[in-house]
Amino acid sequence: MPTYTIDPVTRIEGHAKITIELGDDGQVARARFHVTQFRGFEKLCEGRPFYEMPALMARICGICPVSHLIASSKACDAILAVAIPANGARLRRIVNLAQILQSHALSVFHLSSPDLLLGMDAPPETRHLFGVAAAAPEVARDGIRLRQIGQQIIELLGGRKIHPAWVVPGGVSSPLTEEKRDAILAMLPDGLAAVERSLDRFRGIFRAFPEEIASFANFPSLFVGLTDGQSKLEFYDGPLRIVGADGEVVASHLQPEDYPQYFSEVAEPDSFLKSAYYGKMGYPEGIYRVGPLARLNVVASCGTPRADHELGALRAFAGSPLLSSFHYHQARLIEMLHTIEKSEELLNDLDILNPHVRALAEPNCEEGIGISEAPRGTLLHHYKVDKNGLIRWANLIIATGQNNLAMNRGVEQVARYFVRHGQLTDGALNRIEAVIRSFDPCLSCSTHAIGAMPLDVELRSAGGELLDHRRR
Amino acid sequence: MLPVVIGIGNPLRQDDGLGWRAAGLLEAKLKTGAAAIHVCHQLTPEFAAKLANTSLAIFLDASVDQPPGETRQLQIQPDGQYTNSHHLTPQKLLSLTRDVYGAAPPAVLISGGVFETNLAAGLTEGAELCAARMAEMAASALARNAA
Repeated sequence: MPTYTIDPVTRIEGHAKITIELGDDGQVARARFHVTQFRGFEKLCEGRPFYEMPALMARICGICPVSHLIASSKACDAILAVAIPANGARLRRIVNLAQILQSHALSVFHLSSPDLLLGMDAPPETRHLFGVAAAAPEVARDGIRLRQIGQQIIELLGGRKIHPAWVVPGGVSSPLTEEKRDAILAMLPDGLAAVERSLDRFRGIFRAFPEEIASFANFPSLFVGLTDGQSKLEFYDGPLRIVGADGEVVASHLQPEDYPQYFSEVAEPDSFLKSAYYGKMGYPEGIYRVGPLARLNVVASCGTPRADHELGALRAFAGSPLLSSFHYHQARLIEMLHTIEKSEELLNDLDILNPHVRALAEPNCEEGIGISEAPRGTLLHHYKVDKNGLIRWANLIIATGQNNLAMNRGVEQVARYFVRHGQLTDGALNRIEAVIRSFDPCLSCSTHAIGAMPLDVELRSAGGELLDHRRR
Repeated sequence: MLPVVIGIGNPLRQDDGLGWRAAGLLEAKLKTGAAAIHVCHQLTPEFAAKLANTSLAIFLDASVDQPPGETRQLQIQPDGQYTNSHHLTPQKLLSLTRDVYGAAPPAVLISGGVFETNLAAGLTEGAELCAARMAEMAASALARNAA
């Protein structure tokens, strides 16, 4: 049976490879996505004081450090056993929304727009941001501007764009000033206009990919995400909800401490990325997806008018729940719209300049779990401390790991669709990468490792013979 | 249009922090508002938006390709393409600026040769002197630009 290996996979965050095994009939029998890097933050934090964890965990990733800051700080809030001040929570929400905005802009414009604008079959040497800049500079300008706005908000709130240490156990370390509030509010109309232009521009483009919509991880699965408790989109706090492929609620009002009852992880021998599944359905039947697509599937509405209008239009086109992972791209744009609308709403809160933003306490519990929504999906930090507050044990469940089963199934689905007669064409190769890209995996986060993510694909025979190998 | 200065490097890798140190020394020399000074671990596409509206771009960076302690100043032009989200040179950033915004500003790369790049904070003694010279060179370039 021949096997193709794609190694490394490009335009994603981290290192991975893909293997495709062909059957004796020359058709794809099996395809696997392997993550080939490892760092192990869960071990290296043992023995450190719990209050160091947010700043330490933020170092896992240069793209979404704020997400780790927030989930980690929430786990530490639980160790302190404090309710953080309302304005501290409000400010955490704003910085989390800015994180989602900048990360989604990176995914949509820098990483995926070359495929979407230039075509899946465009030559690889032109299919990158420079190619987009040449073909549609206004798209590149909007992408750069949106990422810049998200990063500037993070910098204004947290003091720096990458690895800010402003979110701390008990709240945030300093209140918002009037000057900074006004500076952030002044940027938002520009961002809103850029996202709306992008939605208008991409709406027709997305519909020009019927084969990709049909084959990019388009299958029934569960979907998991936070809600506000009232069926609206939520990124910072609130109960988890699990929804099935038919839209029916499978479980609702799940609290962070419930997660071990509902979710399990399995380590597979060919990857450093663990796979999470819904424990009650077992492995691998408990496959579920998280992230923008899942978040929109677990709620009735976004809760902000412009984003709700766009969500309605997407559901009218693609149905509900959204089953094809190709729709992750449009879901990201809708979430970007929501982050700007929601940020404006929060910044206009009359209490937003309240200086009481942090609760101080000593450790009161020996265990804490924090859950929030990161750009790529639900993020969980779970710590156990000794009586002195030193970390005894830590577990992180990262969005990319939760999507691992779906990514693997997606790779296989795309390979079966586009790899024909044992031939690995450039177009097929790129689509196999693109389905992974639609999930926007962050392997630096999910294996807690560092590095760029190039693509490597191997094609092997039934006997293990290497038939083809593409690397770029 | 305010000149833009970008110090590049990792200050936790000893002399790789040359760009950051030089940017800090330059900032201390300049009058407030004389230039927009930034530091970063690596260049990102967002810097293109800053370069689109500037009269001069100055990049301050450490170099492993020149003798330790040696400083160099080069006029640089747009060159190369951005194909990797994890690596963007000053020349590629200028290309991106030109392609997206229509024009790239005049630009100078001031580099200093490193002595050590181990995992540690702070420059070596030789690199400290090198950073001071880089800051002087940047100040001179800004003065010429202002004139």
